[in-house]
Amino acid sequence: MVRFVVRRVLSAIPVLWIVITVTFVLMHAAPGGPWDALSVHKRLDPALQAAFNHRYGLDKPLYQQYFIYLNNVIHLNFGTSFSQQGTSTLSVIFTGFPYSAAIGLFGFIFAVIIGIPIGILAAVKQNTWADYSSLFIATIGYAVPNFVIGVFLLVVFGVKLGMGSILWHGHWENYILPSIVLGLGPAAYLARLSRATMLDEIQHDYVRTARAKGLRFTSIVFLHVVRNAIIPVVTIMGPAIASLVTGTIIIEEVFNVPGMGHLYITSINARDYPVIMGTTLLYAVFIIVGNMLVDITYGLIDPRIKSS
Amino acid sequence: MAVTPSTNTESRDAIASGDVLRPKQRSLWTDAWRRLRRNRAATAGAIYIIFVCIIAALAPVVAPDNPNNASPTAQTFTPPFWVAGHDSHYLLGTDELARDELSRLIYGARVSLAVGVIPTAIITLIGSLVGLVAGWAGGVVDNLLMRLVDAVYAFPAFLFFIVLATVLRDTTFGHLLGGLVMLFTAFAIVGWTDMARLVRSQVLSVKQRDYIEASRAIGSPTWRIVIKHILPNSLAPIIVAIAFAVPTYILAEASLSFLGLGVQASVPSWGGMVIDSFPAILSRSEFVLMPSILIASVMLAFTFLGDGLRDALDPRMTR
Repeated sequence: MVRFVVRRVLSAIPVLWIVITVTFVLMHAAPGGPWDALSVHKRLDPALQAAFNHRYGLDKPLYQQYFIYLNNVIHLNFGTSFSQQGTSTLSVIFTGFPYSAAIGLFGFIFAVIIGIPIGILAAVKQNTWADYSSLFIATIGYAVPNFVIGVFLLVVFGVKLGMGSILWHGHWENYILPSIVLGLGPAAYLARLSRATMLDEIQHDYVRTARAKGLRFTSIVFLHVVRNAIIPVVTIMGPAIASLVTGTIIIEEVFNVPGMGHLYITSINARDYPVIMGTTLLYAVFIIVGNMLVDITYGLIDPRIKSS
Repeated sequence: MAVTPSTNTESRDAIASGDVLRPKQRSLWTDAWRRLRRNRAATAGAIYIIFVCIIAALAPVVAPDNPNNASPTAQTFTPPFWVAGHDSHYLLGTDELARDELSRLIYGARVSLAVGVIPTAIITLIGSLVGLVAGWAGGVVDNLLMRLVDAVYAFPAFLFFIVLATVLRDTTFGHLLGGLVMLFTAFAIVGWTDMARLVRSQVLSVKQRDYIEASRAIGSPTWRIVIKHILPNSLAPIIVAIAFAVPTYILAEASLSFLGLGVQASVPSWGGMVIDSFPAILSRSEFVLMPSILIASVMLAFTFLGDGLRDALDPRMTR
């Protein structure tokens, strides 16, 4: 187990290196520079621009900047923001992080506690109206883009019902809609998948044996079937976490949340190189760790898989 | 199973021609086709998709107005026909720049379909090729290709789209076909890995079958085995994957456009229309809702069709 975890952590390093390299190259290839935003109204004095460039090492050849950045990242030094002078990249990112983390976490909880029970219910009540309607709703939730659902809810609650309070004020109730919208897609996906795996599992002979022994159907389902059926469901939680993490970028734009996704878009538009790199890396780490946790739980749930 | 009139006539014809004793030929494809037609949601999805394709193809004929230039007399935000104060000339009203909403929605269908179909075609080609080579060759080639797939797969796709779109938007390349070429490229770079994995695993399982060995024993060249046996027998899961890939890219375009990073502003796209009218959501929510509904409906149609295809082509469904 320890060896498995260590190997997975090590295998993340080349991926992170690729993420850094690709982002670095693309970012510097983008037209415009970090000081354009400062000079919206008048052109920035060339001498001042040169001074800025020198201060942040942007006057060095690109390959040198690249190796300096790599070296800094190894020492966990992510530099300081260009657009918010003197503030470290990490503290810029962490002003937005709590909002995104809260929405992502609530979204995930919503997805799990809504999606999986609906899938199990639909499978147990196969071919009844409960099955059809939950499958239909799940298909809609899975197919309709989350920003479209977000826009719908904004129109319904904000415009038709006149609830101005759903617009972002930083209160707890502002987290409800973004979390639900974010969690809806993964919830629908989990529901569809857990229904399918439950149906597969429920046909097995051990279920018939347990019924023949006179066990109650509900206890068979919850003691045996769910435990076996949940394994494929757990495997897709990795991609689900990835879609939650990057999904917040869109959701934050819809609901005007000042989170990490919002910061990411602003930093890209401002060519704030350190913040772009820092945020991309953090997103990549989340996605990788998410996938890794899934692999580890996979081994824990199913003893047949010795995390090989 | 209910006996429908058509099977009745069929069986009568069969008796008449003396074919009763010979069982009717049933291949995977005729079975799948029958199952697909019986699936109402999938049929409805397919019909809707064909309808949207026709509208998109005939856009210059069907669209009542120019999607990009407002007529000088037009006013901004004329409401659609179900809202008081509408103008009968503009069935669905005019947008924030006084352009005809209906025409823009019709032309927007072109962007959404192109962005769904073309990258899917590219990734199917690249992915099938890589998967075939990896699965057939095995060994070092397989190992190298699969490590490449792993690396691309681990890369956060949506972040890549955002950064790439930012970089290329203002370059000549980014302007090709109003930014569509850039989107196709971005989607293709990241998207081929799933298809490659799928095709590889199919090749690996098909390659073990006896008929492949038989074919090799009679001296068929590799290309013949691949084209005649491996590809046709791997086709079913590829078709299902294609049906699910298309809506993924439609969604990615809409999401990027929603962030202002999609096609150029001169190209009407549904995602772009959502974000363009988004600032007016409180007063003119219809203009946010109309393109949103279209995005949702096309994605839903593709999902229903994909679900139907999967159920129809999955041999385990035959009981």
